[in-house]
Amino acid sequence: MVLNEEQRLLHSTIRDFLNQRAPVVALRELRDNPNPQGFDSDLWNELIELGVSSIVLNEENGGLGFGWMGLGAVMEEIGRHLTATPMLSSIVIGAALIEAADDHHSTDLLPDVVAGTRNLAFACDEGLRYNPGATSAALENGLLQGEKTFVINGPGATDFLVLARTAADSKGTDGLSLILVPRDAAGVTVNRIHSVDGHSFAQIKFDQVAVDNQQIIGVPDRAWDTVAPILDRATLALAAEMLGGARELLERTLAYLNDREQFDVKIGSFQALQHRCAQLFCQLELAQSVVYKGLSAIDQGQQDVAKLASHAKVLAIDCYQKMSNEAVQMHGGMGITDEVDIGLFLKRSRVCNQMLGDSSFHRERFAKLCGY
Amino acid sequence: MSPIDEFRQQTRAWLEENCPASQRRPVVKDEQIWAGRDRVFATPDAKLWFERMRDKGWTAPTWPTEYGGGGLSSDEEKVLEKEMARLNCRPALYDLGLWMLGPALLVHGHEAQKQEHLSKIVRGDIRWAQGYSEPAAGSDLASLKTRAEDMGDHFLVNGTKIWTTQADKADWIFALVRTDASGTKHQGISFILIDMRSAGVSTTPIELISGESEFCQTFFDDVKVPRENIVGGLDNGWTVAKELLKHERKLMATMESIVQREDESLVELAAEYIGMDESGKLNDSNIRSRITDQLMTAEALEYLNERLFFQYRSKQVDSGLPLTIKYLGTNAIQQKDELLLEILGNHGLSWQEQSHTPRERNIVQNWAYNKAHTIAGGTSEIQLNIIAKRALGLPA
Repeated sequence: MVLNEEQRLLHSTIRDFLNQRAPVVALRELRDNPNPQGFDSDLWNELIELGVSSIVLNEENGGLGFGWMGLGAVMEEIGRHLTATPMLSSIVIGAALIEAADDHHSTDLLPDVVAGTRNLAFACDEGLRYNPGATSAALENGLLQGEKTFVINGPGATDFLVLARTAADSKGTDGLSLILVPRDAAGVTVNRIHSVDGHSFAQIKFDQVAVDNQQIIGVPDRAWDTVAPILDRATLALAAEMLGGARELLERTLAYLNDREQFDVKIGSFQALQHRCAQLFCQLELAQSVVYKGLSAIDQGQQDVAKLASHAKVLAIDCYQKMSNEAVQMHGGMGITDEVDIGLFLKRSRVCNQMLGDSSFHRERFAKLCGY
Repeated sequence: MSPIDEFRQQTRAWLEENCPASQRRPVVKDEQIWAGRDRVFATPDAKLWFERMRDKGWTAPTWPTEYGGGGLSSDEEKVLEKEMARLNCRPALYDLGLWMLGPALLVHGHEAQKQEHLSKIVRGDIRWAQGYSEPAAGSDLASLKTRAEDMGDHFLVNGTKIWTTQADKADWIFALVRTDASGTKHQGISFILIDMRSAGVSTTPIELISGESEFCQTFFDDVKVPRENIVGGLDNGWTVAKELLKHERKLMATMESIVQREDESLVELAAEYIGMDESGKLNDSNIRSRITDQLMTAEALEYLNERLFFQYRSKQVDSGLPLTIKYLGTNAIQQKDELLLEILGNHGLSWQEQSHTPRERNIVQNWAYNKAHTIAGGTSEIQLNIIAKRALGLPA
């Protein structure tokens, strides 16, 4: 549950790189002057050169052996810098799904994804919130019909991994398949969503899109068996990103309290503020411990991290949400201006809340897994 | 096989062989094995278990063997803890000397003091009490006024200590006393060991809201204490006390596992008192949701402790991390107590023996007693002050 020497080196390399190359101002630039893909391709290519896209791949696919604790360190830095990248969608979910399916796509598609020449987006959500069991997009007679929304990295993807119902009369997460659909396939319409945090999502319509068997990834009708563990891992990675954001906010807030003077003293000397900061620190370290527990469990070969993933997401949501509210409040009037970055973190936290399942979803799942 | 795996295998086999079946159930309060001259065992099995662990030095697993300890490394201790947890082995000894004084003596004691006291602690021969707080010195502990006057070959102690846990049953007390009143309040404090049988020592139990009297007030009236009983040097007591407080805070946070009388499962209790629907969900969605909160906090705390262990082992300790444990741990215990009480409904409110099951009474008593946790050993507010200044660097 601590980083080894190689992972620490990776962590500081990514931190130094993002500090130099993509501080938070890079997100402002992307927000104010949007490009079509929703992220900075040059930045993404440079990150790939640093190895981020092959951190958790198996060694035969060019994996670097930094493990999930190493990936967590990268995600933390992405969270600290609010970096918009396809990391979560194309690598942590997309590449992992291709690798786990272990079929011809591992040779046809995976190398391009890892090299960044193709970009994947996992198309799952359909309603107001994440709920894969309610999937209604369906493949019948070789034609895919349905509508997906809040697709992470949707605008920048070259291909979609679409979760769709393929077994007639199936329910819940049974009877689903994962289907590879090129963005330029006939019948695909992508509408960009500019989200409140300056990142990009997409709403995608699949209208009578022709699909052949070669496009099914993994076992037909049984996709959930492969997808669920990958999403648990991705949820832990997302929680690591969220806590990176929360930690950055705590540090920025402490710096402000140590600088700002009122009543002729630093406002950080007030006990009312000190106690709230100390409580936030405790909450952060508690949540961080669950994230590390989950990431290191994967590194130790634990196959099922469902409970840890839900646990980590819930505590990360609570922590980032509370931290961002308190950071705004403690920055006073400045906290509600767009001039300081605090509001960007505030907005990012709420977007992260909805990705891969909100607090209610994961609390319910945790309770079920615990048997009550 | 690596040495640690070999140790694990041997430990597992030894525990299987030596821990009696009756000592593999959650411990109830009356069956805890407390140290002391007048040590009593609730059952013959408890005596056997204690003696076997004592003879191996595993009552104090990491203390050096020359003082009767087990001489284990921290990795081996972790293995022992895990293996004991696996079999639900009860702790073989309860004593403040074991948890608090011993670790401080190992750092600050003279060789003669270690020789005199450590092996008796390991062997459970002496029960220790702690004399820190005074009626007028609580959170502001350094303002303590109990005096120890230098009389040449001995000190003459006068004053009173409060919240001395079970001092009426203790054989010795370690206390903070003022040996010099001329400097600032943190200076001139000494850490001293006092035999409770000395002339002039008296104790009065304090009745608590739980109906128990775990704490006492202890009075010192012209008590003679030998000079060699000062630990860590004259007027240097604050340094020793701070060392020891770290152990106390760690202890308070892990109280649930160390001295918890009977570990109640929220889910089991709720299933029994509230019931479940046909889909296996608790019938009260609000309580169900708050059980989730509590379980998530409690399990996260285990992970935090585990993370801290790995940090110590790899010598990469985040200095702020240990400071969070007391605050978080004691809050979590109280959060659980409140839920347990609420789950009992009106059965949690009666106070007569006849209308309670022992389990219900235990829950109610613990709920009231555990209010002490966020006060004793440095209040939660003091913990937050310490975190703000030491971990977060906020100004004084």
